Amino acid sequence: MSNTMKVAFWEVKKNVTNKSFLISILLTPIIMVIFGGLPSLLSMLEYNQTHTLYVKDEIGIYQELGQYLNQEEIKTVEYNGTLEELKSEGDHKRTSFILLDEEIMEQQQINIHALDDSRPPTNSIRNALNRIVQNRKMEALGLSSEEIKEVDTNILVNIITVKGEEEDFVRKIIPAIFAAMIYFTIFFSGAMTFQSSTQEKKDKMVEILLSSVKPVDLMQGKIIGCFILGMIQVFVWLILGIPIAYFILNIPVIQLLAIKELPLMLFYALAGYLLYSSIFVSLGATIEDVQSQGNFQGMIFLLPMLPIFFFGPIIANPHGVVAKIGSYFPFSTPGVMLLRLSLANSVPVFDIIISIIIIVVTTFFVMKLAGKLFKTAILMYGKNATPQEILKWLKY
Amino acid sequence: MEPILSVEGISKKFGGTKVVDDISFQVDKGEIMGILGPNGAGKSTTIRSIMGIIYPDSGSIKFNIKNTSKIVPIEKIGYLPEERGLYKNVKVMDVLMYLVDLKNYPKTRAKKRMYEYLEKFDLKGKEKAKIEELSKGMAQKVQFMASILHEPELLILDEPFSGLDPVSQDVFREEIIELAKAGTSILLSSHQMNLVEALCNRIFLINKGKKVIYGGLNEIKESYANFKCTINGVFNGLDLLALPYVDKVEGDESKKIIYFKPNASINTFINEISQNIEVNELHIDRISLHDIFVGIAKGGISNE
Repeated sequence: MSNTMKVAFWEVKKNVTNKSFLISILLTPIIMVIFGGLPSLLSMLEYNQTHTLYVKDEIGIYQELGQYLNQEEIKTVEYNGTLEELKSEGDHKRTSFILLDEEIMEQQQINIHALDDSRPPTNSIRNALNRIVQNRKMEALGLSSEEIKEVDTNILVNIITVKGEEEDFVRKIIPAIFAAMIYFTIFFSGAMTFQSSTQEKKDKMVEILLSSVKPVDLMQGKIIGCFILGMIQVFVWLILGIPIAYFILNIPVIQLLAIKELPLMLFYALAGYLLYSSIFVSLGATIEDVQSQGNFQGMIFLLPMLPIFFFGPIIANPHGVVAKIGSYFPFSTPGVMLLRLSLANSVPVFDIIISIIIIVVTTFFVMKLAGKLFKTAILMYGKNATPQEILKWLKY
Repeated sequence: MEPILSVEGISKKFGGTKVVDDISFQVDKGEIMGILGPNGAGKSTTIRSIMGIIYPDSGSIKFNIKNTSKIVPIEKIGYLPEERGLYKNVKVMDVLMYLVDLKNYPKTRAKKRMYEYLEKFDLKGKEKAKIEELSKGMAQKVQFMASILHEPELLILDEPFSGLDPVSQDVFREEIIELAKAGTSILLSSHQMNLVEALCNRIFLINKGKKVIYGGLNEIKESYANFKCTINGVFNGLDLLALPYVDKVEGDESKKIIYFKPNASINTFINEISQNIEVNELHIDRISLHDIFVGIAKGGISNE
């Protein structure tokens, strides 16, 4: 086995036997689910409660109002007393009161009196009342009830793209989630290479290692090792995620993932990983103390976050000028191309070829430079490298 | 003797300063060779150049180790760097096996040797402990093990005794002697003269990147270590410096240390002073390596 692979497997072993790595593998998706799902889950708890609406009807439309309201959302109760009398009846929860009189017809305005702090479902009440008022007006124009039903329309909107494929939310969201997951992994594995360099320097392991391995083997070993760790992470997530998606959410993830863009997406992810991790691993080698590690880490990890600037415009138009700029700027190429491939039905071949050339060439040169920097920086003890020193070492 | 390592005229500049300047020496098979010098003399730079961790600007380093085609035969070299440390969050056994594996040494054999050494170094049962759970001395023993488990033919130890307590120093010293007896060639660097004096066959004294003395320990002592005399007593105003064979005199009115020039006759000296000085106490001995070293570090003794 080559020394590169020995270093790689050591990185894997060191982390896999580390509890914090195992916990983070399991915790990350749980945290994501919690942050993604909990707010809507919580709001569902509130919104799905039935609201009680006390109606004092002076114009005889109580029955009609009931027809237009979803009884599970709003339970109507006919009430003959006044608002004051209702209030005095004691504690009311999720309750409001309306007075239906001629004023609605004339002024097209109504007050809903909320009896507690919860918000009455004004939209539903407004829609119901709108229809009743419209019906009254049409009746006044002399239309029969059949004719009124004829007038009532509700248009369903579907988007059909020029290429004839029907837009399917699920078909797109799954590759997009997958792409995001790969990108997320790039991020974390990259962070691991950074920490691995810094840690080895802090633990003063470097010299012992370099008496047995070449610096370039050490660096490549770290990059490959952290890549394997990242893949282990993705693998665990897929093993857990696919059955959950299939059996609980009824999404056939595997079929949806088996799209023709998948190999391309994997290519961009891999290129992005090599690009970022070689930057991280070599910059990690310039750092010694924990504090500047924190500061520095925050700064350079903005790099893979670059595509976020392009998100809005790309979602609006996956082939627009912004999307093209993002695809051609090497540090955002992987993220932007992953996004474009998962959003658009097809990305122009020209863009794909150009971006592949750009990312391959950039990665090649960045890895060469990173090797130079790593070789010199990893042996520096006692202080962090200054930007001037880093520049000087790059020129060697 | 056949050399296992030949260093020929290596120089290394950092920035504008020459840290190592035209250094040449050999390590013979089965000997213990010491590189001595004050802090910052260029010892570690020389050793790192030998290990191929840094590249000297000029000069050559040759190994005479069989069955290897590599320029630096890493499998057959053991190295204990001056900067001590090991992965903190990793078990003793794991880190040792990893480092041995990088040397392409068979794992089963390495494991056997590891248990032997753990017992020898009083670390029995610690193989599953994490490095961070060990005391500093224990961790240094583990690191020393890492440099010898793969049975190197050439062992390079950069300041092996620094930071060790006296008991551990003895353990290390005995082990180094034992390894040398078993045929391992050893190159060690130190700034602690007494330890080197007790261990090395030959020494290379380096200061400010340059060679000061190089040779067998006994020859060096003979050619450099002149007599010195310590006298406690009443001197009656005698001008000791006026004596032709006295090099220098230190001390005060009641106690003086007299350093002699080479080839001084001690008998003559005793005869001459016996009439003038009332001696309370008198020692005559040769200057130790320590005195030579201090002299050199202060710039007192030249190599010519």
